Amino acid sequence: MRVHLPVPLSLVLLLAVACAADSGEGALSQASFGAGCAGGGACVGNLDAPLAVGSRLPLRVDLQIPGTATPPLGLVSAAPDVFSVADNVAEAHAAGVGALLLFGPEELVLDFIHLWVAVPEDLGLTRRSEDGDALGSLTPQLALYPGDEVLFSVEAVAGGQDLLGEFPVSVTGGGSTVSVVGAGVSRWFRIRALAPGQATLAIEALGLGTEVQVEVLP
Amino acid sequence: MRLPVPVAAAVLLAGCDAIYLDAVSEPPPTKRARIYGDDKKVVISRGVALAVECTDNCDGPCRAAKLRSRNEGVIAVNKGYRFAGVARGEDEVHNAAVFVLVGVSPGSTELEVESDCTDDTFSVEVVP
Repeated sequence: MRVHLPVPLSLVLLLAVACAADSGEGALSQASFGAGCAGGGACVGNLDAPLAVGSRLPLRVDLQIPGTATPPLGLVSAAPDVFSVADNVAEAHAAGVGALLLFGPEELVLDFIHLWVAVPEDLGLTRRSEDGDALGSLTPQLALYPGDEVLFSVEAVAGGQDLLGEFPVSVTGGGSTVSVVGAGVSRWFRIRALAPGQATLAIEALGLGTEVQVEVLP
Repeated sequence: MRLPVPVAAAVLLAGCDAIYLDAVSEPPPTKRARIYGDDKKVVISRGVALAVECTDNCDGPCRAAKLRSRNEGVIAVNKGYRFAGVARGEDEVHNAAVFVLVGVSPGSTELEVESDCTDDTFSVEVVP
């Protein structure tokens, strides 16, 4: 029997599983660093790409020292002009690389990892299944029937690589033909075809923009 | 001239005291973080961290190790913790001779390294 979860719930479960598996081993092999899911934002994957300039990335740390539970921890950027850290959230400021230091009790550095920051060049649109799986790039022209829905996410891209980080996205232009609503996860949206006609959706983020032409067939 | 044996031994031992810094981490691609032991020199890129271990020829890992930067605006020194058993398979639980250096801004300065055995100075160059 296949159980159909409500979309927001299935997304949360998917992202939680993704987060649990994602990590980046520290230079001293004593901690793993990953993208966190705290604060109600999206879990954006592990640290397998640079952060996009202008974005924020919640961070997660798992200490791996045998025989001890996690002590009080603090994260500090060694390159605050490249990225800063506050309340376990990294904010990317400029292209470059810098160390993310993990401090423990008595100001001991327990581990560190180097994070990369890159300037986004394009916005990528990824079509998503109802289970949250990536289905490939969203085509710039869509033909839908009234009642059809399309779920997609917006990525910052540089050199063909999807960058990490959360950032505000604006989607406008649906008119009476289509509606566009947030899908409950940062940077994820749902297009719903309302009535026959044509619409141009303008998607803007991080100073970049792209468009999707939507035709709703009779 | 013949020196008394205790004095000769002291001179000999004093000459043999040596203290070392060894890197125990790697720099990220395109950046530098390296110790040139023969030249007693550290070269590190700005914003990069480098874990180092102090050893001397008295005890191996330095006892009562101290590492100080003469200019924290160029290179910062943090005490580190390394569960040596993880990295080296040795029966040690806390290596107090580990430090984490951070290149703060381009420039030159020196690091003073000290153990209960001896001390020395390493030159430092932080590159962009």
